[in-house]
Amino acid sequence: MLDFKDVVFQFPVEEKPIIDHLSFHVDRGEFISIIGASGCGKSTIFRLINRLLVPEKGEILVAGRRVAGKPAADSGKEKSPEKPRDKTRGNIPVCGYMPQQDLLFPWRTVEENICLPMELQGGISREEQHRRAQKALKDVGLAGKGDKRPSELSGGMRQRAAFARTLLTGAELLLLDEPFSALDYLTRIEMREWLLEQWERERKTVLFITHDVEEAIFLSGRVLVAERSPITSLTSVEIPLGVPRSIEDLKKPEIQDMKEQLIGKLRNTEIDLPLKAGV
Amino acid sequence: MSSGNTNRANLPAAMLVFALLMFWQIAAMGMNAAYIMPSPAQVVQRLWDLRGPIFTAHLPATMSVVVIGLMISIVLGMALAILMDASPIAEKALYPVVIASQTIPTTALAPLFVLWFGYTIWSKVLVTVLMTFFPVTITVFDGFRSVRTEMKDLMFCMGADTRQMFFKLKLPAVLPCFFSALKMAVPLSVIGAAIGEWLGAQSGLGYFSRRMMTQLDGAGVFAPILLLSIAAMLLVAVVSAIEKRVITWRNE
Repeated sequence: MLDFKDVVFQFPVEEKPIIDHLSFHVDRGEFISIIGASGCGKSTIFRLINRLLVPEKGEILVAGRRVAGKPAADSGKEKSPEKPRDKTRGNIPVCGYMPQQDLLFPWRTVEENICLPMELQGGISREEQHRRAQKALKDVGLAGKGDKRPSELSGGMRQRAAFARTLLTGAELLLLDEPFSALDYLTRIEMREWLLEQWERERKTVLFITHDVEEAIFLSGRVLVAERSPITSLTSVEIPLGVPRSIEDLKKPEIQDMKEQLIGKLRNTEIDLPLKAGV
Repeated sequence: MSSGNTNRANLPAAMLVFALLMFWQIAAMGMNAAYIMPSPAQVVQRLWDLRGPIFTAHLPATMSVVVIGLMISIVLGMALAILMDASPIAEKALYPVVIASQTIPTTALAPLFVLWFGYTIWSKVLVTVLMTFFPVTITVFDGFRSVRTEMKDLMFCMGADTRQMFFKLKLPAVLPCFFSALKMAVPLSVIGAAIGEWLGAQSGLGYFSRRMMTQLDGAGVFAPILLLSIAAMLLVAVVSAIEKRVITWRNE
């Protein structure tokens, strides 16, 4: 579903790349969390996938479509990366992106907000948009809230609406960038269970960034750990839990051990970012 | 209920205005020189006496200057703001010029406009436009600049093209700024129109006020000014009412 091949990326103002010859692979239908110390470049990975940033070297493939990079020299004629709007694929974006803040537009109702990706894609009738929006609202537990303004919803509800909007992009790959970090603790716990239910129903491929180890273990089938910065590789850790799972599962001794281990890995992270003058 | 609360909140201000008017009335009556210091009652009286020419000839003349001037300012200001937002080169070229244009004493230039356009409406419209396009341009442009980058990124990820980015994100996001700009521009446009008319016109409230001055008619000078103020307040009220209907979301 997602392939990074030797990707190098460097911010123009930095002296060293933040992502250095990174390769990894994600299968269709996986729920994967990426954990790492803040500032290590987790979000940069997302911004490369959704084309907000362009890698210097290497190739990124989503479902076989090249989103960035040139093909290897031996693969024939050169093709430039496909445009975000690819007419041949019904304008469906390569991935659905859910940022940390819900970013619902205050001038639109909840339903109008979640219809936005369909409006942008075009070619979907109003009735069809309304039908899909109503279904999505019901699925995420916001039935009957479509006519409300985002400001009338609680933080948790707004994130649910933002998730519905992400689903309605129609993309198979969902990038969730710390979507619950701005919520209070109890809501966060509740949203984790909710997200897992959503994933079990939709079975989309999910890439989930978090710095919360417990959250990563609870949600994912596999955790990718960014152990050092610049990111040269991601250490893959399988989570030995099936679905459905519950909060209770986190209390199992082997899971507790795993949590300790992961935290240990993160604590050893050498932040080798080029520090500015004065150090 | 909310209007009742607003009324109560405005009560101290209303009382202050009333007290000042009373003071003015008493002082004017004490001076007893209506040709230089008319009392408020005399001003209202004079407005009533002169209602024929004022409401049939002079008010419509001034209002057409205000409306035409505002229209041009809105179109010009929006166009400049959109252009500066769309092109960094346009921004670098235009922004300093727009700011610098505000240091030009428009009032002092007005005689030149009379020279160019004579006593036609266009000399007045030009003064009005010069005074009002600035707040529209700058406020709307700042509005464009304050559209959140995260929202633009999100639109990009959802595959928005330039046109969709403009109509579905930037334009609605800038609407509250647009109305603030309009509320600033309306009183300025009334001032601009009046100044234009003082300097060269054959009708209009500014022209009328000046003519009364040459006749040493104090109340006659004040009467059109009173009407100008009321007109400006009503126009702002109309803009606010439209704003309330259009901006239904709370600003976050």
